[in-house]
Amino acid sequence: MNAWTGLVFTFKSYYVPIWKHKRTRVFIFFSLLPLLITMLVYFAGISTGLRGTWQGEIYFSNFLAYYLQFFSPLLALFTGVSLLGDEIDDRTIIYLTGSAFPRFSILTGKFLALSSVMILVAFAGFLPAMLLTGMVLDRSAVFLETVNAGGVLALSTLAYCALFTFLGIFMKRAVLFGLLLVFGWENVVQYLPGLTQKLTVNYYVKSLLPNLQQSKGPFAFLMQPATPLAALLVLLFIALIFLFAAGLIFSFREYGSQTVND
Amino acid sequence: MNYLLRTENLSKWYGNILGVSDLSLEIGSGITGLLGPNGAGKSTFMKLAAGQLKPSLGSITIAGAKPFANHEILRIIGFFPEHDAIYQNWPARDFVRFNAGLHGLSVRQAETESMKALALVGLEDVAERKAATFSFGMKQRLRLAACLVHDPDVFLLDEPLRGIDPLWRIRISDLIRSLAANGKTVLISTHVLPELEHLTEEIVLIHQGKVFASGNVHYIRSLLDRHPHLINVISPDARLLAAELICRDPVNGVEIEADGKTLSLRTENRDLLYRELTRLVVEKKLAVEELSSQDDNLQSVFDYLTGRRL
Amino acid sequence: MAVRERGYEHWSGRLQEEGWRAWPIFSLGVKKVWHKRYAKLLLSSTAFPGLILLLLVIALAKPELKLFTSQIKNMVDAQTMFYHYFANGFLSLMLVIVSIFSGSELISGDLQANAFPLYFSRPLARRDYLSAKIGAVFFFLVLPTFLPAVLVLAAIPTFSAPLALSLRTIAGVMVFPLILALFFASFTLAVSIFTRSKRFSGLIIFLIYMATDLIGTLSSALLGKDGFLLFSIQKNISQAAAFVFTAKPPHDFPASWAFFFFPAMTLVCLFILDRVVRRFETSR
Repeated sequence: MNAWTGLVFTFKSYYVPIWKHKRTRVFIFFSLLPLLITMLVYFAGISTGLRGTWQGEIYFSNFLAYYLQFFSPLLALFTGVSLLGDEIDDRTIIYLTGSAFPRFSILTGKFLALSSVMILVAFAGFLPAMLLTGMVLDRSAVFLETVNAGGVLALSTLAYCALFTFLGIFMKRAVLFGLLLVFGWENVVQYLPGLTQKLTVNYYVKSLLPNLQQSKGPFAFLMQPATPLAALLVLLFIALIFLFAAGLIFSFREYGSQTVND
Repeated sequence: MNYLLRTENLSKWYGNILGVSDLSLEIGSGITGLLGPNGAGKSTFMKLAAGQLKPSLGSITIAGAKPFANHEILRIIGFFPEHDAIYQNWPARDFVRFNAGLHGLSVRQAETESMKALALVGLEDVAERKAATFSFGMKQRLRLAACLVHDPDVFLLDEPLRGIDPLWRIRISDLIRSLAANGKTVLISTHVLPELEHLTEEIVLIHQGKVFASGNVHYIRSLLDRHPHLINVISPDARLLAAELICRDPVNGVEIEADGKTLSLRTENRDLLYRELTRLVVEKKLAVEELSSQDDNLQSVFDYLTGRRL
Repeated sequence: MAVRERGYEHWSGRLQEEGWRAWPIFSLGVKKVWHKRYAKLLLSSTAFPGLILLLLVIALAKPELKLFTSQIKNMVDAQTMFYHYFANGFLSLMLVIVSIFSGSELISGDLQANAFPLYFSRPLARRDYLSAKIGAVFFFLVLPTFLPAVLVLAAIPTFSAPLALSLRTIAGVMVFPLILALFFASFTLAVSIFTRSKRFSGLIIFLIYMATDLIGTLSSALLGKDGFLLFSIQKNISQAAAFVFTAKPPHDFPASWAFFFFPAMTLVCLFILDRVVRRFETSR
C-alpha cells in the first residue's frame, strides 16, 4: 500500500471530525478573545490615545505574544499529546497499527489534519484581530504585518506541534512536561546569552518578528536574534525532524499492551 | 493442507508477566477455536497474530510474512479485538468506511463494501447513528463489520460473541461458517466451550500461555463431563438425601457442611447424578432449595488436567 | 478491595454505613495521585517557598548565623511575611499545576470509563461523590501550602523569632490556604467534568488561568480601571492576601472584593458540579 495514499486518506478521515469536535469550539473561543478586547478598545474610544504611543506598541506586542507565545504553543501541546494519546486511551490505536498503510504515513496524515485545523483555529481569531488592531492603532503596514505574522504563527504552530507530537509519543507525562518546557524553559533560557537561547522554538519565532523582541527593559541586550532566513529554516527543520522522529518511534513501537490509564 | 498461520516457539512476556510461552502451531483454512480460561494468553496470541505485538522469542508468520508493523501483510488480516474499541462520535458507516480505507479500499469500494458489511451484521438501518448511541451488542456487531469489510483472508476474532443476543449469535455463527466455507482462515478465541462446539471441531486448548492440547472438540467435551465434579445441594432434608445418595452409583463421596443443610456431592458422572437426584427428590418428596456446581466450567477442566484437583 | 471495571479502579473497600460514606472514593483518589510518578517532586517544589520562609524565620531568630541578612532586614512583622508568601506568583502557578496533576483526571476518568452508573447504583448521594472528589484534590493543595505555613507559624514562637504575631495573622494563616485550596479544587473539577479527556481538561484549566490573567491585565491597563483585575485569578490571590494580612494592596480596587471572589466562585463551581452530576445520577 502506497504511503502517500495512506497519508491523504488519513488526513481526509480526521480533518472533518476534528472540526466538529466540541474541543475545537472551545479553542476557537479562546482564539477570539483578543479580538473581543480589541473591539472593546475600539468601541470604548481609547484607541486614539494609543496611536503612535509606546502604550500602543506594548498593546500590539502583548497581542502578538498572546497568539505566538501563549495560545499557539498551548494549542500545539494539546494537538501533539492527544494525537496518539486519545487513540491509546480509547484503544482505537489498534486500527491505526493494523492498517495496510505504513504507520509513518498514518501518523503524518493525522498530524497534518490536526495541525492544519489548529492553525486555522488560531487564524480564526488572529487574522481579524490583527487587522482590527492595526487599524485601531493606525499602523501603516498592517496588511504586510498580518501576512508576515500569520506566516510565522503557522510555522511556529507547526514546529511546536511536531515537537509535542514527538514528546507525546516518547513520554507519559507529556502535558506537564510540555507546560514546563514552554512556560519554564523557554521563558528562562531566552535571557541567557550565547548558544542556550537558540535551544528554544521561541527564539526563532522572535527572530522573525521584531515586535516580540523586547527592545526595552533590562534584558534587551541579551536577545541576539538569528537572521530571518536562518530562523525560517530552523523552524521548518524542527517541524520536519521531530515529525520524522515521532514517525520512527511509532513505526516500531508496540501498542497492543496499552491500557486505558497510563 | 496449506497453513496460513504458523508459529514456532512463540513466546511473549510483558516485563515479568508471561503472555504466551513456546507456542508452536499451524492453522489453516477453516475455523479453529482457541479455548482457554481468562488469563490463558488467548488475547496475547491474537494480538501477536494481528501484528499488534512483537514476539519476545520465536516467530509467528502469516502467509510466510511476520505481521508486526508489516503493513503489506496486514491487508489480508481482519482483527476483532477483545476490547470495546470504537470511535464513539463517528456514525457507524463512517467507522466501517474508515476501516475499509485503512485496508486499502478506494473511496467507492469503501462506500459499497461498508454498507454490505453493515447489512451482514444487521446495522444498515442505523448506519447514520453515532456509535456512542449503540448498545454493547450493537457495538460488537459494528466492530465485526469493520473487521470483515475489506474481505481479508485471515480472521482473528477475539470473543466475537460476547454480549450478543441469542438470535444474532446464531446469525453471526452462520456468517463465520460461511467465511470458512469460502476458504478463509478463521481463528476464534473464547473461554466458553459451547460457543465453539457449534462452530468447529478443531480446538486448541491454551492454558498459562502454553498449548495444552489441540484436537477434536468432542474429546474436550468428554473431559468436561468426565472430570470429577463437586455439586452442592442446599436442602432441609440434607441428611436424608445424603443417606439415599451414598448408595447410588455416580456418587463417589458425600459431605455435610456445618450448617446441616448444605450437601457436597463428588461425582465423575454429573449427568447421571442429576438424573438420580431428580428421581429421588420426586419419589421421596424432598425439598431442595438450591443446586449448584462449583466447577462446571473450563477452569475446573484445566485444574483437573494439570493435576491440581483430585 | 478494589472494584475494577475494564482496568479502571473506582474505589477501594466497602462503603461505610456510618460517617463519611464516600471515604473509599476519597482514599483511592489520594492513593492514585500519591503513587503517580513525580507526585512527590511536584509537591516538594510547591512547598519550596514555605521552606524558604522557614529558613528566613530561623535566620531572623538566630542573627548570629548571618544567613539571608539582606532578605530579613525588612521582615518586621509576621503578617507582611505571610502576605508575601501567599501573594507570590510562583505559589499560585504551582497551585494550578498541582490542581491539574491531582484533579484533571478524577472526574474525566469517571466519564471516560462510564463509571457514574457504578457509583450511583450504590447508596451514594451526589454530595458524597463530590465531597470525595473535591476532598482528594483539596488534600494535595493543602499539603504544600497550609502545612508549611502552619509550620512557619509554629516556628515563630518556637525559635523566638522577633516577629509580631496578631490574632488576625494566625486566623489568616489557618483559613486563607484552605479557601484557596477549596477554590482550586472545585474549579479544577468543574472544568474537568465537561470532558472525558484528562489532557484537554488539564490544558483548559491552565489556559483559563493564564488567559484570565492576560485579559484582566490588558483590560485594566487599557481602560485604566484596576477593577478589571478581578478577572485574573493570580491578581485576586495577591489582593486577597493583602486583605487577609492587612498589607497594602498591590492593586487599586477593594481588597475585600478579591477575598470574597474565592468563596463566591467556589459556590458557582459547586453549583455547576452539582447540576452536571445530577444529570448523570438520574440518567443511570
